[in-house]
Parts: sequence; C-alpha cells; structure tokens
Amino acid sequence: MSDMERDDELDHMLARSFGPPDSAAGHGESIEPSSGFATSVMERVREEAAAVAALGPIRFPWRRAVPGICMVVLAVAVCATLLTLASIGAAHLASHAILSATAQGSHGVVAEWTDVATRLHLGWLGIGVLIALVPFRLSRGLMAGQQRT
Amino acid sequence: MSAELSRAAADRADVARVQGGDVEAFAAIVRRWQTPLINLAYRFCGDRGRAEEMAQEAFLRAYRGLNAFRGDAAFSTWLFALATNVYRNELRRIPQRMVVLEEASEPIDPASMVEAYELRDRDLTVRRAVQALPAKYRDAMLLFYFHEMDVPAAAQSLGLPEGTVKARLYRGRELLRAKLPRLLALTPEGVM
Repeated sequence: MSDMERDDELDHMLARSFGPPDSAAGHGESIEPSSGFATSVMERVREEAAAVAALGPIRFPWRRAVPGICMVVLAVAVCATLLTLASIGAAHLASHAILSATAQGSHGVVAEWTDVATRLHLGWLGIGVLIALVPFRLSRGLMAGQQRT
Repeated sequence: MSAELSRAAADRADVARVQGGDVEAFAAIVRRWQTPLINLAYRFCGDRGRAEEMAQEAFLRAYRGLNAFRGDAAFSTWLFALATNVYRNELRRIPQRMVVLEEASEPIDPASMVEAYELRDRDLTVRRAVQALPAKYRDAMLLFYFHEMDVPAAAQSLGLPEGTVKARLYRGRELLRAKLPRLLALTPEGVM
C-alpha cells in the first residue's frame, strides 16, 4: 500500500468517524437530539431572559472603579513630575558640559560627557532596558513558535 | 446550495428578531442547529448524554452573546466557532471518559456481523487514537472532517490561520500513522 493510498484510507476512516451527520461521502455517525432537548434549551433561555429583565440595565460599577481611577491619575501625575524633573536636570547638566568643553578644548569634551552620563546613571539605565528586553523577546519568540505549530 | 441559502436567510431573520427582544424566535435557531451542534459535541466527547449537555451550554452562550453578533460572517460560522470554544473548554475542565460502553445488537447474518464488527472495531480504534492526540491536533482533525474536509471552515471554527490548521492536520496525521501502522497497512477491501 503506497503512502497516498494509506492517506486516502486514513481520510476515509476519519471522515466516517468524524464527518458531519448528513454527509453522503463521510457517512458520519449521526446522533439525533432527544425529544425534550429543544424544550429544555428554551426553558433555560427563558430563565436567562427573565433574570436579565429583572436585573434591568447593568450600571457602571463606580464604587469599585473610583479607587482604581484615582490610583491611575496619581501614578500618571507622579510619572509626569519625575520625567519633568529628570529632563530639567539633564538639560542643565548638558549645557554645563557644553560650556566646560568649549572652555577646555576638544580633549575635555569626552571627559565632560562621560561625567554627565555617570551622573545620570545612563549605564545602569541601559543595562535595565536590556534586561527588560530579554524576557520580552523570549516570550515573543515562544508565542510565534507556538502559533506556527 | 439553495437549502443552505434559505437556512442562512432564516438565521438572519431569527437573529434579528431575537436581537429585537423576541426570545421565542431563538427556538427556531435551536431546532435548526440542534442536530449539527449535538453531533459536533459527540465527536469531541464520544458520549451522547454529555454531548447534549455541551450543546445546551453552547446554545445558552449563543443566546447570551447574540447581541454582539453583527453579521460580518455567516451565523453558522459564528455559532460553530462559539460551540467549538465551549466544547474545548468543557473538555479541558472535565476530560473525556476514555471507556465508552458500546451498544450491543442482535446479529442477523453471521457473515455480515463479522464484517460489521471489524468495521466498527477499526472505527472505534481510530476514534480513540484521534481523541488521545494532543488537544491542538485532535481539535483540528475533528473540525476538518466535521466540515467535510474544508480547511477554511475548520480554521474559522478554531479561530486560527489556515496555514496553522494545515500544519496541525499534517502533524496529526503523522502521529496517527505512527500510532496505527498495522491498521493502515490493512487493505480496505478486506473489511469493507
């Protein structure tokens, strides 16, 4: 038996077992609903409809949402303040470095910028960003691999 | 094809009525789709009683979610995708019972009985082998054959790209071939 014949035979067996109930080709096994099936489904549907009507329109849960909204506003305000202070500080350091470098000549430029980077902890920030990127890239790769299979 | 079109038109009309607040219009949807949904559930769980319970849950979810149905796809596509999701979650929650009590029937002709038993035995073996596959291959195979070997329909029911479904079908078939080498080596003429 060739691979193609074997595939056809496998297809035939699977269609017979899992094909739709009304398929002429597959002859899939057919299960007829029990006599009370539709009635029992409709009973549950009516119960559901009655429960929804009794509840009325669902209101927005302000009592639960307000603490969360306050926390978000506070977090945004804190972040905005920190960013503003950091950018003011960075601008001040940069202007100071440019002035010093101009006064000392070209060999002082590197030293001044290294000093600025050290004061702003740019090295640690870079390492932090890299460390955060590793699990992000890893999880993206795993997700893509899972989607392909 | 015309039956399918009239079924789609009836679905659209009934869905519009239910969305307009007519709960009783849902009964027509249940009557129209109960057999396919129960049969799809049966292919997942292999148990008639549980298949009805799962189909009932699917209809209830469909009723709850009907207001979100906008008619971008056919109602049947939406319903099968929803039912597939319900069945897969249900099987994850309570895995399928692996032993199925087969109904015994009185033989009429011993020769045909042997053939019938061989055929039934083969089908049962294949069914068990498919249901023992990892869920992602099993679901792809069940839906592919339930939708008459239509990859786009199976992909829509699973909410996956067609390429992913094709890859899962290929891998599922490979696993089955490895699992059932002797069964597939048998010539079909011997048993059919």
